[in-house]
Amino acid sequence: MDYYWRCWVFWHLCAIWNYGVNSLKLTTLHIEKHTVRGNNSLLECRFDLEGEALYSVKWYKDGHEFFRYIPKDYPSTQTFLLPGVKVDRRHSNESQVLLTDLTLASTGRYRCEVSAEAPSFQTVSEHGDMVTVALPNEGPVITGGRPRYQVGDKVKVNCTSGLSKPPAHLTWFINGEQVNSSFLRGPFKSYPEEEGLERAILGLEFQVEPKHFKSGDLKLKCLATIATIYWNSNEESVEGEKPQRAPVLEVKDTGHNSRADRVQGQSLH
Amino acid sequence: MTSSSNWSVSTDDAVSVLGFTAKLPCDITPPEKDDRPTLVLWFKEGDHVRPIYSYDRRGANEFRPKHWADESFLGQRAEFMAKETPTHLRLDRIRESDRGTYRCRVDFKKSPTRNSKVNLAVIIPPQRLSVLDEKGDHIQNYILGPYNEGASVNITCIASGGRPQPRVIWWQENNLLDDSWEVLSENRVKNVLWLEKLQRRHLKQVYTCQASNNEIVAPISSAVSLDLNLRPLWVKLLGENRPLSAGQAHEIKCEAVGARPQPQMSWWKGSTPLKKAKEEMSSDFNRTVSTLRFVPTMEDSGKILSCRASTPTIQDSMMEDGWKLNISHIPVVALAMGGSLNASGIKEGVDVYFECNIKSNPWVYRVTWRHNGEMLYNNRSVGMILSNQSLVLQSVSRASSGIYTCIASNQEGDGESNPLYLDVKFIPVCRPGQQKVIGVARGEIVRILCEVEANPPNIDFSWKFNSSRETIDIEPNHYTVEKTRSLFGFTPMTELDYGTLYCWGKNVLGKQKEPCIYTVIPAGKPDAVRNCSITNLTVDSLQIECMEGFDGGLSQEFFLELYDADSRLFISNTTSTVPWFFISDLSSGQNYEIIIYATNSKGVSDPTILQFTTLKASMRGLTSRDNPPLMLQLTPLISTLVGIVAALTLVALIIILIMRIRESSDDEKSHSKMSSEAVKESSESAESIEKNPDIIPQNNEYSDGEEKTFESFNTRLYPQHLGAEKSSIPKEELTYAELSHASSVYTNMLSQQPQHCIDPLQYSHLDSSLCHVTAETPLICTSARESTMVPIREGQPLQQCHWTPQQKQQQQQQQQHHVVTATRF
Repeated sequence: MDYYWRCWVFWHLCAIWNYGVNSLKLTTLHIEKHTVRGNNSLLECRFDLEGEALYSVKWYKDGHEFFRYIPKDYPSTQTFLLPGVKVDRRHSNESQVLLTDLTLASTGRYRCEVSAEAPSFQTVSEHGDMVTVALPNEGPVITGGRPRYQVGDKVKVNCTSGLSKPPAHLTWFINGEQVNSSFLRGPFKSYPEEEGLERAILGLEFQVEPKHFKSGDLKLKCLATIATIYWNSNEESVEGEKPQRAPVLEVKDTGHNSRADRVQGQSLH
Repeated sequence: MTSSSNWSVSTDDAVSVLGFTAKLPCDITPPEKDDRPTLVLWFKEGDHVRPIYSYDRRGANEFRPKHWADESFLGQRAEFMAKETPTHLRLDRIRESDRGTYRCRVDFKKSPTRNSKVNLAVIIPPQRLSVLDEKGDHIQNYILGPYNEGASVNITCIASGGRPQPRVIWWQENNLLDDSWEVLSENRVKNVLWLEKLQRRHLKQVYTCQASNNEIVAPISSAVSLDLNLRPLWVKLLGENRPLSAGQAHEIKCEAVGARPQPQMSWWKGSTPLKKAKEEMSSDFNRTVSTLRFVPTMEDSGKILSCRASTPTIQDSMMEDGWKLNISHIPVVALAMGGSLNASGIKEGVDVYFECNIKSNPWVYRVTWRHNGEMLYNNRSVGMILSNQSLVLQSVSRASSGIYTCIASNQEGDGESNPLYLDVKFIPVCRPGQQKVIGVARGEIVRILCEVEANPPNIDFSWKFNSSRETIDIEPNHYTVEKTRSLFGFTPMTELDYGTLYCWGKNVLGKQKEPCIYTVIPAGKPDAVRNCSITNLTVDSLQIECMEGFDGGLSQEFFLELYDADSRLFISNTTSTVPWFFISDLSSGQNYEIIIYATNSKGVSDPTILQFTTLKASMRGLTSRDNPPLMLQLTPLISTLVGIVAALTLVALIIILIMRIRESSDDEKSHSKMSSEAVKESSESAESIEKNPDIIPQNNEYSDGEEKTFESFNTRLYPQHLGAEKSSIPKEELTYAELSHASSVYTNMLSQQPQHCIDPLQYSHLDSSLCHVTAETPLICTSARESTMVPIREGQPLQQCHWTPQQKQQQQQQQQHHVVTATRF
């Protein structure tokens, strides 16, 4: 009684006070930025009702509702079909939704909207973007290299990543140093194949200089990465002209967090 | 925490105007048939977590949905119209703060939630328009101007307020005139309308400035009407330019059409402004009619009467219309003697020529001439020739003297010239109509007035006396002269003193050709009246008309006595200068007798006796004016009496003849001093006297006898009456005492004053021992008809003063003037 009387008198003040103090808050929204195709992902949405009764929690992907939690309904949860969205209702409730069997279509903006009960139906919402990734089926491949190079020779090689979505990000290293972009050609994308999978191609062109052999062989490495969830590389060693030895192609698997793409050695003969 | 704006949902646009209503659409139709909306929430982006409106049909509210609106944002202004199609949130009394993006969330029972957005644009219409004239002043009363015809004008319209900025456009009726507005500032947009060379068609045209920034509410507009000063289209004198009559008031109207404001109108005669005229304006203010009351004068002919009108504010706007005046007037006529003629120096026989100078419009159709008021006609036989504007009098006579005028006539009337007096000089001539025969008794003074006509009237008279014996020039001192008259008086003493007098006048032109001739004869009593007739006989009156007989050489009077024919009693009498009488107050059907006689100073004429019977009263109807005059026959008795009288007269004449012959020898002795020529003719003269039956001898013997005869005659008839009258006559009054007896019967009449006597004349005192004339007596009396000399009753001394042939030589010797001068005639 006392509260309403005061608010009736200080109409605006109370309104501000109401919003400022006695209002619904969304405390946590957790959405994985990148997920791997076929995996599951848990979407979390936590809120503080601040004394209000909960009317609904709604989850949207790209504006389309795919899950709702309404405590007064029976059942209190309801899911709606969306491509790439497969909700595990058993592990979903007012504060989380478990998506299973992620596909490339799972990529999108996920929004959590929480509404309090009547009459004011205070509502808060927040969103996060998730990209579901199809990892490359193989590591990057270096092509176009010769066994031997003399100082002054022109090196012209390509690095091609495996099929993935999105396409992998390629980077060249010479003797362990990242190559200046002025020596790069590309990156190019291959024509998309099924499910929109693509290969990335990055060319490297430069003239052999004596410094390239300062510490013995010339080492060319191509690194393929996708966000933070994929890391794989391939390296070639080239002998100088003077030792007159048959070039030895040495391949090292440098990927450390990858799912073990094979290291390829390739002879250019 | 605020809600994110990145809802990838469909977005609608809605527009509303400040103060109006906005409809924010939101489709709540479920995607599937067996579903239903349960809750609709409206959010306004950028604001707070609370929705602004909720429509709750959940559970128990399914059939009675709950509406809730945020008090602080919408209050009572919003309502969700769930039953309308499309369903929408209606927002009333839109405020500027209502602008923004609204999100509608529809929760369905089964279907996925639907979110949609509406962008609401709030338009603020322009607030105010100012229309300014070229000086930047606000236009009062929405009337622009007035401007002069031909001026160029710009009108500025400024719109204030409005978001987005309004379009400002000038219209005229339905025609877009100017849509080139320019932005002055965030709040002000202007459009300047340029009107070049304003013309009459621009008058009262309405120019509307319109400002608008939306299609929802009517644009605001401001209209001004253009007022112009216009020069007159035309000025026109109404009606035809007809000739105007001089001196008459004419109303002339002039209209000025098309001027604005009311034109200044003025009237001019030549370069002279005329008095302000009355002006009236037509009800449509387009036409002004000025009415001039114009009284033209003759001199206005040929001048230009013009009417001018101008619009005061416009230079050189004056227009005018004029008429060359044609003034018709009564001819103005001036009469002059032709050539070198001098009007005062015309002699008889000269040709005279008059010129009639005429000024006239229209020209005269007739010129007439008047002489002393009498119209003149062309008559070559008398030498009177009238041509167009001249009058020729050939060989003028004295009759041509007088006042001449010419009269010219046109349609306006007759104009008469100045009178010109033609003074024709002529030799004296005898004035016609004078008494030529003058009767006078011996010893009586007779005065003969010779009157002539002459020009100039300064006349010298000369007289001659021609008796049977001799012709004598009369000395000037024996007659008097006064202009055209000369009076000669003398007293014939013997028969030889009777004869003819000649009188000549002479003025500067010459002597009278034919003298005036006066015959002095011995005077006698008058003759009886003749041919009496009774006219207009009625029951109680009658009229008698007779012809007068010879007057005996003197002026005569006429007497009438009325008697009862049966009783012989005298009834009444009357007198007259003419033998015409009217008798009234008679008894009807009675017999009367009338005696009429003439009398002069020498005696009484024979009576004329008439008998008549008045009409009986019962016969009154028979009397009328048409009845012929009843000529009365002398009754047998009268006839007998006349016969007796005639016989007696014959006897008396024989006696007189004998007496005269005997007496003539005495006369010869008394006239012995006269010339011997006169003696030879004495027998003729006597004869002529004897021939005259009216001569009354002056001898008392004869008169006694005659008197007795009359007396016996009269006494026998009317003894009683005559006796009574006789005694009442004082004899002394009569100069001719001897006659008084004879005329005693009629003395009552003689004693009466003659009618129409001239005022008594004063005889001048003559410084003469012989003539002491101081009588104030009637000298000349006139009847109604003519002047005649009558006897002087008093003043015997005059006889001595008058010349007689016997006295002539004697008086000449005395070297004295024994002349009676009449100072006044």
